[in-house]
Amino acid sequence: MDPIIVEDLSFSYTAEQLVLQDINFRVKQGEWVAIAGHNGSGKSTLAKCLNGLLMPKSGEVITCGRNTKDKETIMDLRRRAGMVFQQPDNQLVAPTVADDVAFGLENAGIPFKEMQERVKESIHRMKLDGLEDREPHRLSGGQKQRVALAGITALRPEVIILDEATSMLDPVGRQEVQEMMRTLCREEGITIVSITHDVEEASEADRMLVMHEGRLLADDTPREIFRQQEVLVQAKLTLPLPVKLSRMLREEGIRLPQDIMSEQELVDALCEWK
Amino acid sequence: MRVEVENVSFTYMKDTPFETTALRNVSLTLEAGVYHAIVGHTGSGKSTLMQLFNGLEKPTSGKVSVGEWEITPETKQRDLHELRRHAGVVFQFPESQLFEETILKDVMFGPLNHGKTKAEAETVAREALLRTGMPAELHDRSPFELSGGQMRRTAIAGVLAMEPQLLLLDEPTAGLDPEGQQEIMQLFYDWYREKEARTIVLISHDMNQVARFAENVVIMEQGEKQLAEKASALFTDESLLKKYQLAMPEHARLLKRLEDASGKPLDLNAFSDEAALERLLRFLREGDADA
Amino acid sequence: MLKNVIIGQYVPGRSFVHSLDPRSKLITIFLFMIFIFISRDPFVLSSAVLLTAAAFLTAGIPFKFFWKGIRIILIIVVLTFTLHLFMTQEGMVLLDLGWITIYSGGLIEGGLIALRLFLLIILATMLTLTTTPVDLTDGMERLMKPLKRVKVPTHELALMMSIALRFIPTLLEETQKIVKAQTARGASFSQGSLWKRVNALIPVLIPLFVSSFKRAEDLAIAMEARGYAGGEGRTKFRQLSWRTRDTMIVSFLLLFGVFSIITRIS
Repeated sequence: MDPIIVEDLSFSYTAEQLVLQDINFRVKQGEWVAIAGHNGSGKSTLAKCLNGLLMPKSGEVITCGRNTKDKETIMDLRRRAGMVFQQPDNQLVAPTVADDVAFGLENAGIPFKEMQERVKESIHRMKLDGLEDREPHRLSGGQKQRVALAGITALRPEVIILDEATSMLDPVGRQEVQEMMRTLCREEGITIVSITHDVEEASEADRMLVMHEGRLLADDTPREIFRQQEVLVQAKLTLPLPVKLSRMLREEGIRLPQDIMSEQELVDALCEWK
Repeated sequence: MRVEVENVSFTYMKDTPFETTALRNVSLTLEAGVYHAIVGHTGSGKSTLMQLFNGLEKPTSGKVSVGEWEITPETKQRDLHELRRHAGVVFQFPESQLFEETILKDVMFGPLNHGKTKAEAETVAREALLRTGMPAELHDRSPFELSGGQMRRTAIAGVLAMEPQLLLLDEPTAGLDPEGQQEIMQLFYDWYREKEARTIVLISHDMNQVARFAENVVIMEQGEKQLAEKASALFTDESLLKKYQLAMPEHARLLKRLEDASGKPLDLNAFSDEAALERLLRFLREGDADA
Repeated sequence: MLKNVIIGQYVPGRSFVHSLDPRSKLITIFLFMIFIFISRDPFVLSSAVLLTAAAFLTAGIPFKFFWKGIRIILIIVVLTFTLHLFMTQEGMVLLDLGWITIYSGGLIEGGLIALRLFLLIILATMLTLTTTPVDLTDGMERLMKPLKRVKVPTHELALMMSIALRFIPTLLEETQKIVKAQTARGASFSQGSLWKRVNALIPVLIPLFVSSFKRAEDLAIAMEARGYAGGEGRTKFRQLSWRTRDTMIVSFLLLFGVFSIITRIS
């Protein structure tokens, strides 16, 4: 079964306005899905519906085979679908790195010996060796987010949801976190759902969902979405530079292929242009 | 205002086991009327350096001159009050400084502290708010009812309302979406262009942003000044950028790739979509002429 | 000035004091305080001073750093001393200025209280300087465990303390940042009347409250997402190890206690 199934999901904080409207999609096992949208498009609300932090007003969200409305299985669901948040500072609970990584394991009642091993292993996987006793406020933003990831991977989840986890980071931190996402998805087969306004980051995903005003505007591969372009413009997202420049060149009457996505593809197309 | 830094060192928590040196013997001059940028990795000392420019930190040794003010380790806080009107700072996530009941009152805080009357302060505050894209109907709202982007604009208005000559920007667009970033950067640039004498010092990790707006770039690394160079020279020199582990701005990088692939020399000095487009069109048409 | 306060900070080290179990350190300090607060015997008190000095020397904390850090807190000691000096009206009159009279009893009482407070501050500061916050909360949680039977929420208290320890440095940084931002807008915190200075704090306190509430909210969501559901069924990442040296130090303190009680009675 697909690890994430969203059916006719609607959500609102207040009675008047729907923040999410009739959202439908599925995420396959091992897939990397980016949910893109500008601030206020509803993308973070959607993320919080996926692991039952928010309950649908109507419709269903079934994550890792468990309905988010089912109170009996919600703890189990959250262990299987971990979440990294936007503010690196506000999600680390414990006074040291190792204790923080252990927090979820403690909650899950993992025995002492196994916990020691899992914490060590997770810290190593997230390349945090040597920082075990460091206090969170002495870490860089990228390190903080990797600690958050280590705390989640220690629980051996099926899905990891990243709610704008890179938006507060400097370029170095952003790269660090993206590299970890790549390893987790491509090498370990963990399903990744990343919420972002960085189209660059989204272009690496297998699939891209574009959100605008609480609705799902598009659900396709990034290449197909960049080819359509209008969707991104409507969603007020910035086009990646190669896409934007090839579009501008076409407007100048230069004939270029429609689906240019990367720098390399644009350079090749320009060199071959006649 | 001209900024001159002479042999400045700065140490946090001196004489404790936590002692850290943030700046080591830094000397540099930032000319008035120029858009400067300070770049470097997290922990390179760039934020500390910038905080010396309006006396929020005083050097542990050495001297900083800003306009007619001099800041040395002995300078008293009260002598720096007047300087702060002329040198405004927009901190990273400046919305965390909002505290008043209404956004208008909040923006008036700075001007009032600097001796403006209520009426004068209100006039400059309203002007500053309009300039930052906060329409009059919002002026009586509580800052805590606003969206994140609007809070950022209000905080920026609070700094511009003091009518500074020198504007210090510490990653002013961090955490905003691309559209918001673009608008905020344009707003600062328009402010800068308005009067000849206005000076900006920008700290940013985004080299596209730095290349696009700054004329002069200072590179900091581990508390030491590495280089001060014209933006157009630095950002077109791939080996120099590599040496300091800085990313090449995306437009220049694309042109550089094209130059390498085609073997034809290109003018890499393009940091906006329009400039890059112009270079690409010229490249294609010259190719035509050759054939 | 505030950035010099060192109580609550941890300085890594490998000294004997560092290596003790947090529980034995807590029990030791607790016993020590009880004993010096009951005793008035000069011999007991001077050996208490010697013991404190010995502990300080063993812990290997730089003196200059330590002195700078506790200087501000010592104001409390001086204040208490002065208060006792002027308020106690026992013993001989040492000085009579008409509007104020100082008695020998005041001098003794003031001196005694000041000495006790002084030792308390030194030991408490040393405790935090040589024990990691995690060990400290762990130690407290274990020591409080028996109280669970009388419905004291020991797990919640320990978690609260641990979260507080985690966020104190973050909040201090935040405070410093807001102070700087308001200073940059022309606010002044060190000028004018007391009333003016108190008022000057409003632009710092309000943003600090707002951001703390936001943090608390975020943290609660993050804890929920990480499967926190109270102390029930939870396991612990840390285990404390009580060694011979811990038994030794606690026994030594008990002996010291017996000694101080004997001197008190006789």
